[in-house]
Amino acid sequence: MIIAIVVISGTFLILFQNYAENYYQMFTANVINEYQLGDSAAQLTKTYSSLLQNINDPGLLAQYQTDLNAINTAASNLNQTAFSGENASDYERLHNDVSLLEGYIANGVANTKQGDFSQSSNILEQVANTENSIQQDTSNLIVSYVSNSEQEQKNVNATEALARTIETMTIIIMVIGIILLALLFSSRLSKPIMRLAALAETVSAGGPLTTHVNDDLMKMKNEVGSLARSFNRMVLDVEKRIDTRTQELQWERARLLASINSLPLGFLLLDTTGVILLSNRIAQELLPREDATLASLGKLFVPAVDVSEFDRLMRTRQSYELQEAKLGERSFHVMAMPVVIPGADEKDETIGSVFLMEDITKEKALDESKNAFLAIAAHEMRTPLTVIRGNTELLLDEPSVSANTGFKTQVESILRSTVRLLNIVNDFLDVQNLEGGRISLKIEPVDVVALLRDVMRDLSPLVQKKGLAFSVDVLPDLGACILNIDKYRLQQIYINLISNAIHYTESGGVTISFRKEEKYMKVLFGDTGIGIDLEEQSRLFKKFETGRVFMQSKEYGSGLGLYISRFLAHLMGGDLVLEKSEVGKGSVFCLTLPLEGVAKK
Amino acid sequence: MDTSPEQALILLVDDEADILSVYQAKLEKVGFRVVTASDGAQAIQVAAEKHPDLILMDMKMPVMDGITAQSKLKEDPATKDIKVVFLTAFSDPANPEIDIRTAKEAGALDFIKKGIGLDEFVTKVRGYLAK
Repeated sequence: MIIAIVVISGTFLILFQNYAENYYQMFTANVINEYQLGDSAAQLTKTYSSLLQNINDPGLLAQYQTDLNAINTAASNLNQTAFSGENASDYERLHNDVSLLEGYIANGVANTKQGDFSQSSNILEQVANTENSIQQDTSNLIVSYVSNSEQEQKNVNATEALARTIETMTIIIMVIGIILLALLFSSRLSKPIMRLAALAETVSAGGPLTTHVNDDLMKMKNEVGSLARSFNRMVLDVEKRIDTRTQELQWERARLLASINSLPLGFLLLDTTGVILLSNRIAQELLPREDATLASLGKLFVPAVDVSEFDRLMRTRQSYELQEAKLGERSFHVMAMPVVIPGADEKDETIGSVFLMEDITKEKALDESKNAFLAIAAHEMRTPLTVIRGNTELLLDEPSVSANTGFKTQVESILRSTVRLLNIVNDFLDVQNLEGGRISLKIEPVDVVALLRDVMRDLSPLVQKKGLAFSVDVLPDLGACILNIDKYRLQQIYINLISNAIHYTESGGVTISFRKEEKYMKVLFGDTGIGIDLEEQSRLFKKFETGRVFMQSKEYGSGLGLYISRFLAHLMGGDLVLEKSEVGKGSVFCLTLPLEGVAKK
Repeated sequence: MDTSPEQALILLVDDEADILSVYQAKLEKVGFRVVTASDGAQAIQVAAEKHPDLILMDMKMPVMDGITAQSKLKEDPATKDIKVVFLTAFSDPANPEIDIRTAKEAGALDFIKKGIGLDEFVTKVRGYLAK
């Protein structure tokens, strides 16, 4: 459309310019022709006058012929179209006048050739009038043309101005058109691009990878079309790659699942908030169907898996462990450990935890039957041992035995071995009962200092026999020493620690002191005995190391005493540690007991 | 009647004759007077007849066990004030403490683990009598 406007206006402009130019040329030519016509008429009149004088002069006759030709040429050169409007009749009159002039002169010349001069002055007058008329007309025409041409010039100028306006308008229209075209074009370009962008957005926002560009875009022959085709190729390519990766991941996952399913344990992988990410078959069977979460699984165990405690441990990257928890009829060993990955800038990151449940029902049953057997066996030994010990002691009391050095040594040896065997049996039963969880605490208000004095009194024969000092160090500002604990269990700890102190001390004494701290009562058992070397210290409270202790303590106990005492202290919410020890100088054991007492179980 | 500890009368109850003889011998050696019984029922009978100052009694016995015997003694106004201390070998390995707890709750003064030294045994007995 725009092109048409441009072409039409351009053509119009060119045509108008041509017209104006032709018009000019035409008038200019007419003015010249009219001048020539005037001149030719004057020349013909002059030549005729001369011929009147000398009719036979060939030069003049030739001139006459030339002049006739000249005037005819000038007359025929007149352009009729130039004679419009008020000058329309002049064209005919000029031609008539030229014909009249030629006729008069031809008549005059013919008369003159015949020697008839009678009409000469008459003809001459007619010629002069006609010539005069021609001259008059042409000059009038020229004047008229000039005035017309000025008007025309004005018209031309006006037309040219119009043409220029049209031209300017055209340019403006063209510019607007181009802008419109550009807009049209750009909307045709940008729309599909926007659609492509939207599709790309959909894909990147996780939309289906079947999100393909529509056919109409694909078919476009321009850059948009090629972009659309590239987009589709890209999506297909991405889809293929994702398929490959997905297959790889699925294979990895299948392998991982197969691996954890082959574990003879319940396995849970948890994120940091305790949400189950992965579980194996055994764990799935254990998880409650209605609410398969760690929290509800934890509640099924007896004792329950305390999820809050578990969370705290995972955050501080510690392990969680329940040696034995019942779930229905079955027993489990429950463990959890944080999953830590090495992060950037060497900071490890806890990404979750692994929760394991080992079914120990069979082992437990086996262990229990073994324990029961050992307990019964040990128990059955106690009565005969008591009889042996009692009678041995009675023998030693006999003056006839004590007077005989040989007898005395032998009977004392029997007594030592019997006592040792009894202690072993007692400790063994204690350990069985403690580990079997068959110990229940009886919590009551106990004066821990008074209880200690009772124990000391019971043990004083031993102390006196060895000639040791035996004292209790109670600070005056100690205040009330009544704690809510199990009296019998505390007594057991006291006896054990004091017996040890007495046993391993040959000179000096045993001092027990009480100290109150913010939350705990501390009972320190100091002796001036043989002390414990560092290597021995590290094994002191370990049950599995007692074999060694047992072997070394040839004349005393089972070596399980400290293990039992610490176990009992823990049961009551306290602790038992070796405060310090130096070989040859003595040891200090520290028993801590909670001031608040033990929560009733 | 002289109630000084060494003159005190102690009733020993156990179904094991060997145990009875050891403790009886020791206690008599240090000056106590001792009577014995071999089960709970017998113990009640002897206690009613002799009014001992202290009864040292086994827990697991035929005919009548220690706990039952104690509760019967406590029911009888004539014997309810007699101090009872149990001798125990932790008779039930599967539940070693239940008897002790029950005994104590039923009014026993204390218990003595069998197998302790005779001197310690005597010290304890003197302690109970002094209370």
